[in-house]
Amino acid sequence: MWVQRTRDDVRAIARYLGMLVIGIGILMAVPLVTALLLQEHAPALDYFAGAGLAIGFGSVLMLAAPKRVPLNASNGLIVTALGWLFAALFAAVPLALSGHYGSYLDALFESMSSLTTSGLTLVQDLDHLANAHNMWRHLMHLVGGQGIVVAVLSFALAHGGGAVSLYLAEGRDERIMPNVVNTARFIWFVTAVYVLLGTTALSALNLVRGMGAVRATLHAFWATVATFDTGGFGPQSQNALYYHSGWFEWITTMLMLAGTFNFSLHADIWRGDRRELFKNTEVRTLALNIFVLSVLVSAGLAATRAFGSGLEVARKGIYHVLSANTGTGHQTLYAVQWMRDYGGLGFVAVVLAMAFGGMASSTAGGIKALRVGLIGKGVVRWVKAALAPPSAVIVARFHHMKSRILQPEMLASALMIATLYIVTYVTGALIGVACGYGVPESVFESVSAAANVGLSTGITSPSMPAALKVTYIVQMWAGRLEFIALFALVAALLQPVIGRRAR
Amino acid sequence: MSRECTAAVVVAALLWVVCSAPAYAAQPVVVRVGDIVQRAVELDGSEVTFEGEAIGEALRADGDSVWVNVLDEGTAIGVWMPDDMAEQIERFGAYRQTGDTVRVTGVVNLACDRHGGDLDVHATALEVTGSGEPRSERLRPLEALVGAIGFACAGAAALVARTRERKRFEET
Amino acid sequence: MPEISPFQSPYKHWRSGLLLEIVAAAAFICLLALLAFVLAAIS
Ligand SMILES: [Zn+2]
Repeated sequence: MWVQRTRDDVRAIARYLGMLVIGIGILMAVPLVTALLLQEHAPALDYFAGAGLAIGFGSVLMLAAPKRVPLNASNGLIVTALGWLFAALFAAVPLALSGHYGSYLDALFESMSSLTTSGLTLVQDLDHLANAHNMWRHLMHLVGGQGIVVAVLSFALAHGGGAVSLYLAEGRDERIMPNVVNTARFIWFVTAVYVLLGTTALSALNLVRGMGAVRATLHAFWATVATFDTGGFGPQSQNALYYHSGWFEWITTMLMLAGTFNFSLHADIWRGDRRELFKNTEVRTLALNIFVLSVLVSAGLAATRAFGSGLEVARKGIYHVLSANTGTGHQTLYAVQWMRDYGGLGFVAVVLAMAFGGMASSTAGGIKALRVGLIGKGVVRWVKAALAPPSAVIVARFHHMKSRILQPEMLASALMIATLYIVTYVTGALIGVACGYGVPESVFESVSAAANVGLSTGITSPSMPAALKVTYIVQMWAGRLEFIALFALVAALLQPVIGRRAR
Repeated sequence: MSRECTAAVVVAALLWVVCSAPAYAAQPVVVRVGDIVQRAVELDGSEVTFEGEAIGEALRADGDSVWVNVLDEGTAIGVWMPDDMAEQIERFGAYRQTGDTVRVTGVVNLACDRHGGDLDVHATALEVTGSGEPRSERLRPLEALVGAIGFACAGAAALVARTRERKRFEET
Repeated sequence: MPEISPFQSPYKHWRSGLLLEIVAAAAFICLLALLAFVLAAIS
């Protein structure tokens, strides 16, 4: 049952990886041009070196196999899993050269966090970081959010057969349109519309508040990308707290919600099916989930007696529940405050919000509302079946673009992936505790990494143990790929051992 | 001299040190920004003085007030102040320059009722104690070399791929 | 009732669809804020 990978398979994988690495190199043109326009010479050199390294390495790797070599589904999984790692490895190069990271490992942490739209950061002296580097940090949110392999390769493989398997392998398990290229194009269209809207609104706000025109636009673009792609980076060390603005928080929470919408749902609503927004099982699950957690967080924050009015509870509570549940990770509190000032119910609610995550086929992370909804329906069906006479046939229905019957395989897959997320959350927390951190902080940070959220209690810092940095890198990688591609990679690597024994 | 005598002298000395302290206590405590965040619970509502670098820009708040974010050893905090107080600041820290060093006296709020529950400082006095300077860029020629070698490799690889394709085309 | 076919163009009603999404998101956030406000007031 273990597919024996031939030398040709390895060559095909190498070719597609090379293509991907070249894509990352070409993308570095954006920060490079930013640097040149703003006359940031040292960063321009960083991106010249980074792009040269990526394009050179990728080109050589592409020599491994001839043109038009096919990519089957199994190899597509390997390309996807390795693709994210290779992309992060090369994307980290200019960051490491910036002098704002303690080591190459820190830069790798940053690029993986950025590509997986997590938002945990190890940058130092962020307030003096060049605009070019900030552009790169946020651009990776955009590229990673759309699905890096597809984003890069959909241009290269416009009509190739490999694109479908790559698209599915990247944790975007639905095809919105019959054709992958059309799907990718639609995803970019939705993103462009929202990014344009968000950037315009936030630029206007920044200009009114006295920012210079260039800076206002750049900050607006970065904040829009970071929230719509549910990333969580910011160009200032205080993150969203830098702006001290209710308007900023209002616009960004709207973008977070839009970003957590399933792209299939966007498509359905934009086709004119408005009722889907209210009937969809995933929308209902997420709305209920956010609603309940908002109750918990409000009760929790109100109980701390820190706030003088209900408005403050609402502003802080709702912002963080939405930031956590959509997997964004912007925060308007200092990291230490999570444990010290707002522990208790509010803290627990935020951890749960992160663990559940947003909608499937969006840029959000975590278990995801569709799975949570299906598992809920499955439980109800189970109880009903237990109570009904043995002859009765009980089926559970759910609505996702159309009314469907919950099949056992769907339920099994939802349960399996949910279990894998929980195992990952717990494992990361255990490693955090083993590194000497407290239990609640360790759980919070581990869930934040594996669910690609990016809220932090302060564990994530340049001084944390290297073992923990590696742990979080793996968690972000695994969480973003929803495990399958990563397991396929592990199986392929172990294949010489396991395959022999199985025979 | 007896042991009691020594003890009395020590106690007297200690008393003198302790009792003279109120002369300093009249001035607000000078703290680091990191300490304000760490000790916000105990400092809530009290006046502190701290020094740091003004970063970014003065962001317009409601009425005639602005926000200036002040950075000190990696931690930044928002300081709310009247317009004219912020006008003393000439340079704000960014990639090109470090900002003016400001000495701020103000009241700490753990969860400010006026500003949506933010942890902030409301300034009562501001003094510019040092002026910001341009930050220099350090260019590393080695990076240009690495990039050039990379692009050269890419060119060579493209050439190899093309000759291979041509060979294959001729074979078929 | 006929469902909308996945073959239909999603660009056809994108403006009204977008507007619906924005209004719904804003209404949802307002609802949550109101809820939090009330909860904080009674506790
Ligand atoms: Zn305030």
